[in-house]
Amino acid sequence: MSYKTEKKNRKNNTRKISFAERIKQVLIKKKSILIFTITFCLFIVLFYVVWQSELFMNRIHPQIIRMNAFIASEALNLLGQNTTYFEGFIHSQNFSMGIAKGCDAFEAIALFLAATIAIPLTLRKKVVGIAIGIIVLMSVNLIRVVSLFLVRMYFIEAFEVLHVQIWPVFIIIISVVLLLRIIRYETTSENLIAK
Amino acid sequence: MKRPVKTLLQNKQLTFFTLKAFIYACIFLLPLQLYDTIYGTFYRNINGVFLNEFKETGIASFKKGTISSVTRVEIANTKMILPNSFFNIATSEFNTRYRGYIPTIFFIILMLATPMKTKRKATLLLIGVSIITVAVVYKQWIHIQYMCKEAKWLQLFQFSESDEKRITFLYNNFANYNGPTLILAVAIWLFMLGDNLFEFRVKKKISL
Repeated sequence: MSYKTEKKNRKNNTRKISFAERIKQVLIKKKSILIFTITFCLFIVLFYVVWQSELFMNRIHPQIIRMNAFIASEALNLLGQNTTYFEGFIHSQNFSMGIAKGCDAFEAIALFLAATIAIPLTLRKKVVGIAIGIIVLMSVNLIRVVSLFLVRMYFIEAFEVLHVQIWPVFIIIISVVLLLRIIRYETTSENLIAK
Repeated sequence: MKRPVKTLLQNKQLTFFTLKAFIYACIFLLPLQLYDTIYGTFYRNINGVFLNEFKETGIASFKKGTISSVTRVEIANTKMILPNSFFNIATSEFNTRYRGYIPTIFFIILMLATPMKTKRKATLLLIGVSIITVAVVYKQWIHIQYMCKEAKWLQLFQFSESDEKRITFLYNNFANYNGPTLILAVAIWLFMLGDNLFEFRVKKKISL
């Protein structure tokens, strides 16, 4: 049977199936991605509920911000910037810069965590992947804070664009690429087992 | 012989995806007036269609602000017409680039960087941009409700205390903040990747 005839027969057969039946077939076919999307969305909602809670915002978040400011200040001092830190602020002789909500990489980490948990990987790979991902994203966030400080110091015209537009998008792209790398690693492992 | 299907999980494609995503981000996130003009016009028109009239007597108009990336929204109550046929209006200005352009262009960047057949990519781009535009219009709706909450003299809404808390929360954490919309863009993109993402779950036959 030629390809065109086969395609025509398939179309004719499809027309005989009811709409409800067709929906059912699509749902079965897309079962994996539907489960992933629902799980991912649930974890993201859970993250926002916890992130916005008073306990987290008043007790946990300030500690993390303080740690970020400390590490960033030390990194800037290594680059000869002579900074100090207090609470979530980095101070230099000319200005101070605060690390606020959104500049703490929590959302990028939450996105990465939610997607990694939702993907059907083995538990071991998830744990290892999550650990590596958090370290990488925290490091990228440190680079973000340091670069923003230096741009604010020496090239203030570019600060707003870098702060509000470029870095938030970059850090989420990195989070997505990390996720794809972990899935890629799973694919490679399965292929090695198959061989 | 069939051409091998390009999927995102192949090493080379993943590297290309990363590079393309960063390059497109650098291009589309430049502070060019052209982007603000095009998107700002689209934003004002689409919100004008859906939110021009609300709550029986409420009207909203969207105008270009002082600079191209700014939009000014004006709301009024048609019941409160003044003797000289004018209205008292509540106004607010916000950055259209930040509110709508960045999440939309982020989704476009992800789709453009994904290795996929052009026809399928175009269809999914259209669907994805439509969904994100719906989210952006909803953000604008929350903004309008927040303005009505702040300007109670408009008498357009009767908010209870819990409603006011909800509106303030949604305004501060969704309408006036980009994080959730960027994550929505990623969620839509991951859903559209579909089977490409789960190809590793296809079991390969082991020859003994």
